[in-house]
Amino acid sequence: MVQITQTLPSRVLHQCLVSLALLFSCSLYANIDYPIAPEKIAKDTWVLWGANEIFSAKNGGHIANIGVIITAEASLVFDSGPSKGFADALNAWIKTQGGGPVRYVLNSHAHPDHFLGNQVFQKSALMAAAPTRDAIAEEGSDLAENLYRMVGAKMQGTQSVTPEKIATNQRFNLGEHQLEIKILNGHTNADLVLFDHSTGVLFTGDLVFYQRALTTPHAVLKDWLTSLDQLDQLPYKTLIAGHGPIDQTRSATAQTRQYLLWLDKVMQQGAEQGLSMAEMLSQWRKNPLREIALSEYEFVRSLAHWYPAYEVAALK
Amino acid sequence: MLKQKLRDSCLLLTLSGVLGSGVAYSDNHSLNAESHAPTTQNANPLMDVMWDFMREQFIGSQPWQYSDQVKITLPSFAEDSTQVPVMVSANIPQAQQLILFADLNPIQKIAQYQVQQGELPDVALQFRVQQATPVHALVQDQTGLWHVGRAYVDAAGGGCSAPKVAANNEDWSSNLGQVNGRLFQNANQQRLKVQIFHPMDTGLIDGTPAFWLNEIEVQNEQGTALGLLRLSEPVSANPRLTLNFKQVQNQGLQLSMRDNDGNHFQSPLYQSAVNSNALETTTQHSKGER
Ligand SMILES: [Zn+2]
Repeated sequence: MVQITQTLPSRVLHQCLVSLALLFSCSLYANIDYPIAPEKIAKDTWVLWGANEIFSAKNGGHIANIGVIITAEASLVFDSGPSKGFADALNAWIKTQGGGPVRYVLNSHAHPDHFLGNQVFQKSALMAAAPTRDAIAEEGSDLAENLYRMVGAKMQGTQSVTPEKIATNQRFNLGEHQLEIKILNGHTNADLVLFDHSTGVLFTGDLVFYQRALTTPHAVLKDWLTSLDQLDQLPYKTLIAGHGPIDQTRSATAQTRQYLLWLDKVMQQGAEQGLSMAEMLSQWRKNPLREIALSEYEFVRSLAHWYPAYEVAALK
Repeated sequence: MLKQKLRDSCLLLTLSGVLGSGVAYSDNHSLNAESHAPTTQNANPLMDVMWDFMREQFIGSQPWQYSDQVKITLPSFAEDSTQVPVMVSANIPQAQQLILFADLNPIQKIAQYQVQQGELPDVALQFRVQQATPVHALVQDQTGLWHVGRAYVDAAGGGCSAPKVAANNEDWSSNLGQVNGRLFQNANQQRLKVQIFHPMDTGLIDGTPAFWLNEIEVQNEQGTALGLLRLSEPVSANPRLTLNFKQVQNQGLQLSMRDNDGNHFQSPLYQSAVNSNALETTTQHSKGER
């Protein structure tokens, strides 16, 4: 485990003096402190585990798992994290490992905890599926602004940068690693996964949540279930979910599927019984997976995303 | 005095924003706020910021008391500030009317229900919030006493002035006032759930005048008025309303609706069997009857 602390250069402090609002935040947080703790999970392969929490000032927005593959020839980053400060710390750590330059920075999808570290890396290294690129181009700045509101000073200097390269289903080599990118969907309209045929490690992005309730702001149930089936076809040994701990027993996709099917069932039943959205709020307690992190919080969110459609369907 | 209070509340909100609390969430508190007893919300400095002022606006100097019998079901935070679900159920015998409002919204009143015959139903709907706000429900009994329940919803805000994404694409004139509805008949209660196509424009967005459904008369099968539900601008677009009558009084329920532009919609809701059946929606639309 390595701890890296990024300190704000003084010119940034100077910038803050310009704005009264920022002065307030800077006087509280003169240091951007992003302790990162990469864990080696396979040959050349590291994970920076995100906190199994919602965005907060304390976790600095680092709630998603970030993958790194470092070889002598070149290195790869799977999701760039929530902020400039985080990605600076990540980049500085990668340099200490003595690997080759970061040639690939993949954005699994267009959610802010997965791509707002892009600006730290070479623009030519940034890669995402076309719909993800479009979504980042369109909504990236708004998402960054939102995250500022929830995370605060640790977002200092963060700007959304749109990837240039379009990722498609493709195989390529990184050092001795035979890598494969697959573009699936369901969590959003494009979800990029990375499978390392050499180590058996699968980075799923947010197509898989493990021991943590999944999120649905852009989700499509049917597509998501189909994508989980496709993940199950891959001969992976180790699965790194977008959120949650390592899975070495091939159980994480089943848990995500179970959660999705339960959401569908509870909303369909509620709508058929004529329950109002407000009455549905307490239904999370019926979830067999209610003990996993954030199950109540994310259920309240998913109700807002999905329940109106179930209600309308039940009235027709 | 109002201005001072508003400024105070804005200051508090600004500070919490800078400190990065955003939409706060704590593992220690239930997210499903069914709170009404004053003790549970005493720690919240925003709870009472507007209460005296708003109470005077709505009920003047009439007598009131906090009551556990007025239950507000509300999420503790708004995932979508244009669609915050709320349900009010009151266990007040012979209740006369209900007033529901969100203290810190630019337009505070959400809905009012006046009993004309029978009972006060449970009322559920979705509304917009502009920022984190207390929500109050006031229920008047037959002695004139107001029973008060309250809850609080946290929100990033902007729900009242955020333009609807689909606003320009939807042709309201073709399905305006169309109702999809269903009666749910249980042994000891009767529930009407409807969705009504209406933009419910608040008038707070530049260039879009206020245009909302403001009167819904609930009638029984014979056309006798049971109660009048008045909606205000904060009610979400295409309102989905749930009215839950605790005693089954009759088979059918129907709605007679008006908006602030003089449109009148009559929606007889036929029920073809005893258990929850889809309703025929033969909404009649007539313009300018008022
Ligand atoms: Zn995501």
